[in-house]
Amino acid sequence: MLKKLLKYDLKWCFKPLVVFYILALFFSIITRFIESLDKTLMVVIIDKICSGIVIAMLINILINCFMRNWVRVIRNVYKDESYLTHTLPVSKSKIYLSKVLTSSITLLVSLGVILLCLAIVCLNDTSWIALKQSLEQSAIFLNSTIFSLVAVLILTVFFEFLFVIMAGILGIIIGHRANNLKIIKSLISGFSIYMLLSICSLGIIYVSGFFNSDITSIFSNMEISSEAMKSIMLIGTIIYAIYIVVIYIISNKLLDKGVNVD
Amino acid sequence: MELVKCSNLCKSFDNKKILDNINLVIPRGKIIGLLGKNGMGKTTLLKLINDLLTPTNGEISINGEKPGINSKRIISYLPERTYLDKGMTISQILKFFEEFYEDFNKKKALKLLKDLDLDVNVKISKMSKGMQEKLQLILVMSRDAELYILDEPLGGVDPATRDYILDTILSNFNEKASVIISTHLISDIERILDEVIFIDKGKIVLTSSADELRTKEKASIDEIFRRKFKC
Amino acid sequence: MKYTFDNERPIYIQLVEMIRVDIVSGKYQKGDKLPSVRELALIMQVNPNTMQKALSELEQEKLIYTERTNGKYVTKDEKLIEKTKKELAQDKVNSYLNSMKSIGIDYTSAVNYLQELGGKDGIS
Repeated sequence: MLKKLLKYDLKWCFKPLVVFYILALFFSIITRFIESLDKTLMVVIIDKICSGIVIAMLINILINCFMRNWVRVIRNVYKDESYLTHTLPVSKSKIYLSKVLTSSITLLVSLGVILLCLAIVCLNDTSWIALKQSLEQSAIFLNSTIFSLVAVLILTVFFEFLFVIMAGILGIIIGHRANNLKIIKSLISGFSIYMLLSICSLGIIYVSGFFNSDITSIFSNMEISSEAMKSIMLIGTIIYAIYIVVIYIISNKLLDKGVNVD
Repeated sequence: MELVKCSNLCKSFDNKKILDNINLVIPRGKIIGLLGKNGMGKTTLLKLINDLLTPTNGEISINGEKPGINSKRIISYLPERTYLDKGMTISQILKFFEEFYEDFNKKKALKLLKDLDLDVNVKISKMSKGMQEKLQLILVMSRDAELYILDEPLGGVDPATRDYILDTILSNFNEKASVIISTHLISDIERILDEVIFIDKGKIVLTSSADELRTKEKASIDEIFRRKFKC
Repeated sequence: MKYTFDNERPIYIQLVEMIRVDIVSGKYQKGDKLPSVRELALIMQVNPNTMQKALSELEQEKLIYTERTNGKYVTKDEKLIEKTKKELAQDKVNSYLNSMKSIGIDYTSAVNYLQELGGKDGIS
């Protein structure tokens, strides 16, 4: 049943996203092509416009990826369509799990497309070497390899964004336990959860400073050493992973207690 | 074991009691009318049985179990609103029902759709509201369920559609199954009812066999209802 | 054909009356097989349970009988059908005479009126 739920959730969420993916890729390629032309005034103007569109599209993809997942939860679990969703012979945990998996998959694909577009627009021989060099330098500096550096970077970004989506979904679940002003209450609780946990993570990093001198230096003289960077990324990834698990358990419990649809 | 049993069931919203201490047993193999004026708790009761609301107090059991996966397998529910994903086509919806409900009879649904001259490749959003409601009725009646719950299936339809709906219900419900029909338009539907339940201000005020009630009161159910709940 | 019901009386009693009329009027001939309960319920747009009740009532009157596997049949007993017809006729005659009485027409005049106004086929 999870597979079937996932199929319909993914289809719904990806439908408009795919259009943005195609547009973003299309304009990335155009931008790349224009940049290879002689720099006349006209070409420079078109180049600026195209790269502007690409940036707008990339932001659009990210925002839409978030919104689409939230709107799906509201519509599918609490609005008219919920009359069908909750009368399917499927447990509420499976319904929730499917939404989380859909969020993860749409987010991963969106991040992939964004990276790909950036690569199409920016990557050439010189920038590739520059990128490689700076990555290599950081990797050596951080005492790790390029591969693990890139992996940790992507993982951190992915966890952070997934945390945002899931905090939003938990907000929606809490907001819809009320009997009125459900959307406003969803927004407030989602935002509160996000702010609270974000402050919490700052606090955790601060506290971890007591045990790690590199981190202490950030707070004492506003300098970020590479060692501190490494520790923060590590702690950050772990914190977000824990948040995700905690939010998952709480959301699941709340949903399992039952819903009250309009 | 009772098909559906509600014991001391209460539902409140913000301390306002919508359902107050409902005790009710739904037997098997009957067509039951849940009759009451608008806003008296009919839909709330049906939503509770379908796990769309959570009881404030009391219990519901369906085949001896709380509402859950097992109850959803055997209940086919028609809500009073349109609940389909409007971006899907009819054939996609049919596939959806076939995938999720083991008791969905696609052949039957296709035959009923053909009677209506509906093209299965048309999108739900392109259909009129009346057509969407008929499609939903077809989907719901094409399941071989143990309990059909139909919330206001005759709300605001013309006489021809009303006959179509009654025909569809009568010719498609599984003989061992029960049907609960909620409505405030009693005269249209009373001849097909075995049992009636009167609900008023969140309380069950009467349950009886329809023919016994007619014999006892020497009047139609509609008339009895009007007498009882004079505005 | 559309069947209309009087919601004030039990539906099954009305079904019994309707099917009885169908039998004496020859719509269902003696010995004919009746449609199944479900089909009959659909034809008359009623609940199959109610139809079942009506058919058991008719079976008690012996107007129909059940053959174990094949379904329900109209009785072959012509006398019984005639007797039922007569009973129904009696009811109609009574109500005719009663309504004539209510407008001040006595029995003999009522019979005369029937012949005079009834026309050749009995229907004006």
